[in-house]
Amino acid sequence: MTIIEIGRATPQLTFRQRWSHYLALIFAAIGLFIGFNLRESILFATTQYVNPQAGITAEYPQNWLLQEGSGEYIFRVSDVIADGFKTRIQVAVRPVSAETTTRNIFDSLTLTRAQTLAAYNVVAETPFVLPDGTTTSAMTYSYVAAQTNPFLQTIPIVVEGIDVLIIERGQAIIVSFLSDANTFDANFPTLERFLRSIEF
Amino acid sequence: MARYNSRLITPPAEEEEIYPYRRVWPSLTFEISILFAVVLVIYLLTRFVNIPTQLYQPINVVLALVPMGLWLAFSWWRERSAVQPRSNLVTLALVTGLVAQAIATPFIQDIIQPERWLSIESAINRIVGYTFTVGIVQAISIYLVMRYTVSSDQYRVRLDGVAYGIASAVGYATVANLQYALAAPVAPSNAAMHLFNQVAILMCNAIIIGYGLSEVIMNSRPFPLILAAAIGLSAFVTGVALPLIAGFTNAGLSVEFPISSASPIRGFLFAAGLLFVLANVFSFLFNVADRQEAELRIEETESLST
Repeated sequence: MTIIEIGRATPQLTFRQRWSHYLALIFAAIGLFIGFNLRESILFATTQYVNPQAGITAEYPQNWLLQEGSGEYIFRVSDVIADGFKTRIQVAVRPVSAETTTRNIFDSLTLTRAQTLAAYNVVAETPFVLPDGTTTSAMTYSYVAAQTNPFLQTIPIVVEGIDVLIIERGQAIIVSFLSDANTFDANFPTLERFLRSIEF
Repeated sequence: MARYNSRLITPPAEEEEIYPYRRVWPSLTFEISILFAVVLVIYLLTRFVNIPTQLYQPINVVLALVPMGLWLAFSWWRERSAVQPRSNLVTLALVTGLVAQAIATPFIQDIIQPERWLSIESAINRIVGYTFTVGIVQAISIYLVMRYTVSSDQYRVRLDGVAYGIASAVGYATVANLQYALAAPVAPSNAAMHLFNQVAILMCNAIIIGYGLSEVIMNSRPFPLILAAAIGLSAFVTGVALPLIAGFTNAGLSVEFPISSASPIRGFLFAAGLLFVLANVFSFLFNVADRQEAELRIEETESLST
């Protein structure tokens, strides 16, 4: 059976009309490409941090807030525009002896944090491969962070963290990455880029 | 008694030329004026009446549907009484709404995420950033739905582009506004202004894209870049409007107290002003294009007769 459909003939487009539509689509595609390029260049823009005293050079995300000079850490950077918990990277240095093991350092960190952080819990201690291929150790943990401002009336946030331990030249460099547990995986590439740039 | 035949003493009545299509600009003026008035009334009312927090979201949802209601009353309903009504208007609004819900908004919010990287950038970066992301996505969504929902032979006059564009913009705005209303309980005075701003920006997009599309369809030898230019201008208007509305809303303009003080009325007035200026400029451009076409026809007729 053959079906013959009878309809109104659609007017044919002229060459210029057809190319007007094509050029509109090409323009939109180029525009989106420019938009994505701009996005990547802003999102992954970095600022260099240099500390000659500690011998550390690193590149942290642009527009993150830099704090340094505390006894607890050499420097820390935090994403001030993040909702809820401000994603944070912190670098601390501790002297180590020949007998010190990674376990000693992680236990020391755990003892300190368990006294100050609510519901602090070590999730795992695992090997961690640095961007240059070196294998080191890392400890993942979680705790509950309450908002410091009681007028914000928000429920506490579960924070997930990871300490990457690098032992070099008789000192342990602890790179800590802290993020809201819900966005930890999405934010993790920031730590990877940071580790790629850090030199000591 | 002498009797006079009325036909001999009264001049023959001139038959008024009937415009067969619904006039687009008066409908748009009615819709925007009423929406503007509704927002102002809510803003003034909330200064004297305290609305319970639990009513914020229901009120905001109703407000999000107001532009669609006004468009149905002043555009779609009046279209029915026109001699030659435009077809597919509701289909166009629905399809654009679906495209906004299923493609454009998730693409902007989940993939581009402009608030993650543009919110603390400089003014120029924000304008360029919003132009090439949110602006392009909104413009291309409206253009593609108009292009593939309404066939070329349904464009009889240039203003058909604006009529179809506004239907598309209303569909997009309704979805965007419902998402905003359902996301969080915002005070109705602020929500009403945000919803108006959204409608105003999309109406601007619709007018510009409508002009470009009409020019390509009505003119057999259009300038090939006119549609791309229309999409670019539409995206640029969005790119300029979004940061400026936010800036006017949050900036402290007082000389005595130049600190930031949120006042959505300034952003709202800016959005209304932008739509007013842009609609008038494009109304002028439409008139010029129609007049040029009429002159060209007269010249062609004269050349044929000689």
